[in-house]
Amino acid sequence: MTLILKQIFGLLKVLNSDTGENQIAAGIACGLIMGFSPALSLQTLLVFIIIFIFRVQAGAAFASAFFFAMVAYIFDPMFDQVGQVILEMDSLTPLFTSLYNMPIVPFTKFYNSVVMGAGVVAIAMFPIIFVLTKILVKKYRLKVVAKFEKTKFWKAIKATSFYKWYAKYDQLYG
Amino acid sequence: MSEQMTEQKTSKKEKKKKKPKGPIRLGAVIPVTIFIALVVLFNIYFLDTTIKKIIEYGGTYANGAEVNVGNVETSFKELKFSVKNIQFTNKKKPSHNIFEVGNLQFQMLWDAVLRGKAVISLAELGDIKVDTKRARPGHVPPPPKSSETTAKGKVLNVAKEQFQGNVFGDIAAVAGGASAQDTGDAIKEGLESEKKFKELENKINDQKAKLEKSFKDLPSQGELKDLEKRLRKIKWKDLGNLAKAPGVLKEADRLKKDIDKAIKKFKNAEKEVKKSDKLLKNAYKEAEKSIEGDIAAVGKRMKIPTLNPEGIARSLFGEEVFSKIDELKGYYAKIEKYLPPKKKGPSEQDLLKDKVKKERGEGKNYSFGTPNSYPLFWLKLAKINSENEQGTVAGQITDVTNDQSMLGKLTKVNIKADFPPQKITGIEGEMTIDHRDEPMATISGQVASFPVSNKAISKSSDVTFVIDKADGGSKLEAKLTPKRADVRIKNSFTKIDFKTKAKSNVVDEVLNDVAKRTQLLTLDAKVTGKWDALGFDIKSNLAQVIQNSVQGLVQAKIKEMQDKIRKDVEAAINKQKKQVQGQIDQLKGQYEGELAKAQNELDKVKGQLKSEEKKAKKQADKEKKKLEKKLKKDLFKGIKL
Repeated sequence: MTLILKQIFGLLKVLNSDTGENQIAAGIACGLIMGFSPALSLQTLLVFIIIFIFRVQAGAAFASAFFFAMVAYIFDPMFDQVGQVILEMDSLTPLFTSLYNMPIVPFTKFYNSVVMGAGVVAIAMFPIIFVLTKILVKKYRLKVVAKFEKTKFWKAIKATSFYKWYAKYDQLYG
Repeated sequence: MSEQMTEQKTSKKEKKKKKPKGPIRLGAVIPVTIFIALVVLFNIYFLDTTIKKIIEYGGTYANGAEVNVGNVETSFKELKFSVKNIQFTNKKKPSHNIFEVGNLQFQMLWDAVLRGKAVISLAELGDIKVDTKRARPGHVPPPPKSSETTAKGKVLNVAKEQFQGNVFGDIAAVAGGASAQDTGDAIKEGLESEKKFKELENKINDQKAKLEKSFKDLPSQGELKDLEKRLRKIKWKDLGNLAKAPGVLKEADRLKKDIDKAIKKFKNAEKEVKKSDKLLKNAYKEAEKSIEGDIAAVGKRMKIPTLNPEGIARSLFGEEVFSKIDELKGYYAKIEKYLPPKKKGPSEQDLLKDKVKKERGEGKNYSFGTPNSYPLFWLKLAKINSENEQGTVAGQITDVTNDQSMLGKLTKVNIKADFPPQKITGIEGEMTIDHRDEPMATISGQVASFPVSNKAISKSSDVTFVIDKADGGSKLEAKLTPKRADVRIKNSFTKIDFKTKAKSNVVDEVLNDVAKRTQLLTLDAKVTGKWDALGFDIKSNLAQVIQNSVQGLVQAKIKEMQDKIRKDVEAAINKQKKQVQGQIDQLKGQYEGELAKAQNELDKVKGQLKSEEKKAKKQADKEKKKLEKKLKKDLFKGIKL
């Protein structure tokens, strides 16, 4: 729990700083895949490893995974339909047959219509979500953060010794 | 100057700090490396010990007594396991092992492991020894008391009660002068028939209450009289009057309906009386039957021996046969647990084969063939090949799996063994487990020869009849299903040295005579039926010999005692029996009488109604004809043709 909270605070910090747009966007996009996939599946594990090894904002990933998991529940019937269409495609049957008989791959549960539908939708939406998040973060920083920084309230906060102490601490250990 | 220097330094530091970070989290490398190192270390130093402990724990649970493993070696790359010196404690004799496996090797398939399945392509068992002495006695945990075992145990215990008894002790008691005067005490312990008649009394009271209730709904005498009055009040003469006739008819119809209603109520009550009568008669018959059971039970309490060969055989060998069946049942329960039969309804395989619509949100599972699919557990082949100073064991076990229906193969076990130093030769065993559709295990086995020592046939403070030494041979054939058992056991003993001792001289003589005449002892048992109602058919030539030896001595005395018991039991129950019979007759008589009386009255009223109706109809017809005639006359009076 502490780790998740730390990551969410990290997300807020990165969101309000002037760097890490790609990290946040990648985190949100990875969260999309995690949220749409079954909790205990090979693809979730893979995304988790990617988040761990690559510089992807984990807080953004977990928050978006939580959000998209709820969305996925609503869209399950749609995923089911999409998955059925894909799994019943004659041209793909040989591919699925070989995947089905490979070791490890069946752990992805790709043969399930909801998993297949959700997986395909998530992968298709990954670049869109990535680009969209990047644009939104930039706009947020320009319009919301910049305006907020100009407010008297923020200037007053910034003038306090506590803020200065925090800024120094963040610079050294953050 | 110095300020400039420090500013430059800080800006350099900041530049250094703000250097863009690469896409890989280098900080994560250390924890991952540590984690991998820990896993590797565990595999090198602790995996073997962990597997050893797991085998010991699981083995102890399955064997019901301590299992020890000498050494475990694993090869992760080849997925090979080698287990050395596995000792299975004999739970009946914890100082010894039931058997010992010197080495066990098996190899698993990577392909299956990567699919989350355990497939052992080949297992090899060697250096098997039996009945070896343990370094220290093995621990025997108490048997589990699950609800299932208790329930099954209860069922078998009921069967076990049939075999309790000591035939020689009882013969000694009778021969020694036990008299038939003690029936009173045995009867005082309680008679089942007494209970049944008591229950019958309660049933009579219940039926009485029921009948009283249904008779309350019947029309009372006053109401019957009222119907009669209504009948008399009807003015049948008015039927001739066109204006009043409909009213009369209406009233007659209403009265008829009321009478029919009352008759229906009486018929229902009559049905109730007949039902009660039938119920009580059946209960009475059942109570009467239990008198015979009581006579047998009192005989048993007084330890009167049954002198038919089957009874003797049951008394002598029943418990032994029973314990074999109990053991067999335990083994089959384990087979059922670890090699579960196909469950009713769609299996995992069926779900994969066909598209099955599941609940919302779960989607459909598609199957794309199953050429390389494996069951969760599959031991393809286990070869047993052992040759040591104790003897030889050879055989094989094939296709042990948790899902036979998926594999489509039967589990087969085939073992041959000889242990000449122990004088155990000609061991042959075959077992086929078919758990594909209708679960069944077929077992056949035999031991051509094995030594027997100190085998008690009957042992009590009064009598000792023991096989001191003999050569035994045994055959077993069994067909077991979760519901039924069909077991045949054939045992024979030759070169027998009996050890006999009895306090009573008569019995001592009998035992010596039996021992002298028995050169070959056979014991054949046939156990068939449902697990909860097994039928035991036990035969032994020893029983016949005992019967022949004993008959002349105690037969007359037994007969006398049995007659006395019958007389006393009947006398004890007769009073109650008569009382109950009287109550039933009284109840029947009372209600049948009441019914007959009331129904007579109703029939009378109904008869009167019918006759009045008939009369009135005749009168009305007459009047009608008269009227028609008059009308015709008046009509044609004015017409002149």
